[in-house]
Amino acid sequence: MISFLHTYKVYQGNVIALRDVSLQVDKGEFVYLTGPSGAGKTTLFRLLSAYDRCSSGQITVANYNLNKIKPHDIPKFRRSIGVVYQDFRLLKDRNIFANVALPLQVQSESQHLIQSRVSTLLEQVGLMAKSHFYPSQLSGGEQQRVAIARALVHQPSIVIADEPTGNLDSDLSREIMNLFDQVSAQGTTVFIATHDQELIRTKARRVVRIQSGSILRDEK
Amino acid sequence: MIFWFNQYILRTWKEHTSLQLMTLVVLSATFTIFSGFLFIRSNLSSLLTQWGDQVQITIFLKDEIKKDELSAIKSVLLETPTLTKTKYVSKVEATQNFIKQMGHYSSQLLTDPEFANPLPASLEAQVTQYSELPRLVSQLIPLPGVEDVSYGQGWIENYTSFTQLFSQISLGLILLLLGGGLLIIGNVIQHSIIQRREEIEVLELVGATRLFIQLPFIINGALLGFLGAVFGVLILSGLYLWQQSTMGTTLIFGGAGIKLQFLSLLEIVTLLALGLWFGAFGSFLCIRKFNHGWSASEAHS
Ligand SMILES: Nc1ncnc2c1ncn2[C@@H]1O[C@H](COP(=O)(O)OP(=O)(O)O)[C@@H](O)[C@H]1O
Ligand SMILES: [Mg+2]
Repeated sequence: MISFLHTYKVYQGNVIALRDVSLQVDKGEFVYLTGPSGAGKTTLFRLLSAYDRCSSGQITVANYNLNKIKPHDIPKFRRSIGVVYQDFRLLKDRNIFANVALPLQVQSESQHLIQSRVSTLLEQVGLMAKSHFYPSQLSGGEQQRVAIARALVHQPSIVIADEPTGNLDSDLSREIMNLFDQVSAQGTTVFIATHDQELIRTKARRVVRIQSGSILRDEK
Repeated sequence: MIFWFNQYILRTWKEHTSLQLMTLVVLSATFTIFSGFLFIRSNLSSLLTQWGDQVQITIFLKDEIKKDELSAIKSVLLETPTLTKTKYVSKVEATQNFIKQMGHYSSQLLTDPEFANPLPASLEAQVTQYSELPRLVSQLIPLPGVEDVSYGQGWIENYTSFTQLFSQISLGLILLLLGGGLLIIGNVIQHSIIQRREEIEVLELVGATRLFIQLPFIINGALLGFLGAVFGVLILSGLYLWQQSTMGTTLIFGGAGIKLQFLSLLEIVTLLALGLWFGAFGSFLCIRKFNHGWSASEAHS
């Protein structure tokens, strides 16, 4: 499902953010990516969501070779994944409902389907009552849950979440993790970056540890 | 999808009302001038006919012309709607006219038994529409019984080259205007893209195709172009009605009951379609260079 092979990412100014990363995640797996701040977690997720290109090496995700992907295949690829960005990337001038609906709108789904899917997800993340609010009227934790709802609404085959519980208290964190569990139980591949060791300890999952751009350990 | 685009365009108008209105004003002005040229162009020949002297066409007839040949020529003239006051001038009348012009010096000429009348009989008519004349002449010359056809050749040539010159100048001006309009549409789009960079990026990230992102801009451009053409035609028709009601065409254009024709339905529809196409195509040209799938990341690095 996800495969990195000897991948490097060098940013401008010779910052080596990823160093010879090789990694394989199978279909339906639930994997944590962990490591200190600046380790390269966000960079790895950027490459795997076709947000940025790697400097060298091979990346294949959901049968798309991201080194050779054609521009007109990028939208198709992005529809098959769901991404929770560390900085949420919500649209300030749309209400919560419209934000969550975006992945369905761009696929030209029917208003009926959009209505029912978005409502279901807002219900699951506990924000149904605030569906007509704008992002600026929500707390950080609430915005994070909107971002999560948007990443799941189009039922992608891979979900990538960059520190999805970073702004949540432990009760909410657990609820959100349960949501990811449900998604995983349906056969979706889930890949979550977090530096919350507490969270990792509560469940027995595969954990990939990264430091200074290199994979330190990979334990199932 | 339709719902989405409606919302998108509504938002554009709500957020950038003044910019959109300014664009609309400029496009309306462009299309007012455009349709004005078209209006003058299609009324040019009747205006010039009215302003210039009446042109007379004379068909000189052969001496040995037969009765049925004469009536054939007559009926061609009578069936031509752009001719009036058709009349037959016999050989004798022609000579009398000639004598009238020459004064009394040759008053005995007709009674002179030695005089073989050299003047041919002819048909005369007044021309009301110059543009039809060359075709009519080429139709008349091969008819049996016609010796020669004479008309205000020089005037007609001037008329033709004048209309050509007018068409060329107005075409040039219109291209200039449309070029300006394109620049304006381009600027408006550039502006909305800069304003919406973040939104476009997020749309890309959730899997919007290039077309999906571009289409609202193209539809909005088409809308602006179409409305510009509508207002252009409306303004022109307002001017037309005002001019007709206050002064009456006859006062300005000097007697003779000249009628200015407003643009035909076909011309109006063509103008509106052109506005629509122009707005859409202009927007397409301006937006083509944006959004290549990776641009989300390229905008940052
Ligand atoms: N756009 C960028 N340009 C230059 N350096 C960057 C950029 N993004 C991240 N980095 C650097 O790459 C390294 C890894 O960053 P990041 O992937 O964000 O780590 P993490 O998400 O694990 O905290 C850091 O040293 C960071 O400073
Ligand atoms: Mg990070």
